Amino acid sequence: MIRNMNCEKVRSLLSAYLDRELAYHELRQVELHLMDCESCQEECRSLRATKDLLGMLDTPELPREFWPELKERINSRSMPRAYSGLLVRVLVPAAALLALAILPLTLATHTGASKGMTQAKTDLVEPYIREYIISELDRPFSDETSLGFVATGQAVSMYSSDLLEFYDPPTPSKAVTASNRTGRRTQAEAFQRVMFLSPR
Amino acid sequence: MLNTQALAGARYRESNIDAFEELVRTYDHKLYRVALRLTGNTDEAKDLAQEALLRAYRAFDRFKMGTSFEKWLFRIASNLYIDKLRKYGKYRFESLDEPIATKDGYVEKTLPDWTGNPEEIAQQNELADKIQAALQSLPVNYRMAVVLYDLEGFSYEEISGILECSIGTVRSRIHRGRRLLRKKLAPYVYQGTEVEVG
Repeated sequence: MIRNMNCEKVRSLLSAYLDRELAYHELRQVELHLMDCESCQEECRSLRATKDLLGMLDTPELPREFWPELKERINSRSMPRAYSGLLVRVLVPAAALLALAILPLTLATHTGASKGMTQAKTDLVEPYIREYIISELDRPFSDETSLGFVATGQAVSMYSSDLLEFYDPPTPSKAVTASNRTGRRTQAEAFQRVMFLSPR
Repeated sequence: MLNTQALAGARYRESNIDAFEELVRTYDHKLYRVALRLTGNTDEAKDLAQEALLRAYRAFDRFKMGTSFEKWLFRIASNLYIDKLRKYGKYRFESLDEPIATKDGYVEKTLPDWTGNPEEIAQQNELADKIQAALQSLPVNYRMAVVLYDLEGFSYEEISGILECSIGTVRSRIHRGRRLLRKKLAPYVYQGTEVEVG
């Protein structure tokens, strides 16, 4: 019954066999099969020879400039500490407050020129930025500070232009309005989530 | 062994880069080697390894104490590499006859048994180039599994943690990767050590 393990199955296990990564029962079956099967023995030899060939590659040295350059990169990204500290602690929250203060106005308004402008902008820009921010938030190593800036910039430019510009809108359908309102809420949630994540 | 508590402290100190360097020195060389085998290019390898360390430095507050820092670091590097491939292009499938980008200094070090015979040196340099080119031609998932196991000695379990896949998937990727390498390097396969089965 053990010898019934066929060549195809055994061959699929040969790398793990060579690496001693098989469970005991698999190991026994492979060993027994190999005792009687010359073609699988040859298969095993050639795989091991391939593995050995990789051992002929050198072990390169770390370039001398590696750490000096890396430190420079670390410094250059965290250099504007005072500057970014100011931005993160003062300007971003201020912009956030501005955006959040304006947000209910745009959400509450269902008619008028400013609403049309917002919808036109929302249709063109907001979904992309929103999706980008949401997807980036779920990535373990995303840079939330940058996202905060993106979200803030997006919110401020969208909602402040609402107040400043005049626009004669095409009549929006109910479906579009509903979808956009949902979109705004999602953006607001994403935005708040960005803002509450600890900035560096 | 890495003192993660000290690193956690270092993360929040001003002028902490030196402390970070000291603490992750254990892994920088290994990280660079893996990056070089993945990219096949010294400049890209340096950039990839530096970027991975930079992200580790910045994201250290999200590292779970008591887990493997090494695995975490290599996971960052492998994710970064895959992101880069997705962003800048498809996997490359190069012909074995195509030259690969290596610097002279790097090629000179690919001689495990240097004899001083220029003809042999040339042959061995050529073989190292062929092996690297064959690695480059593998699909990225196979390449990463083979490099991590055959060149850096991670276990299947560790690789499954780094690549975030099951051990069965690691097993299959290594096996398929080796079979492809064997095909691509067929004329040279037995230039390695002749071995007995078992």
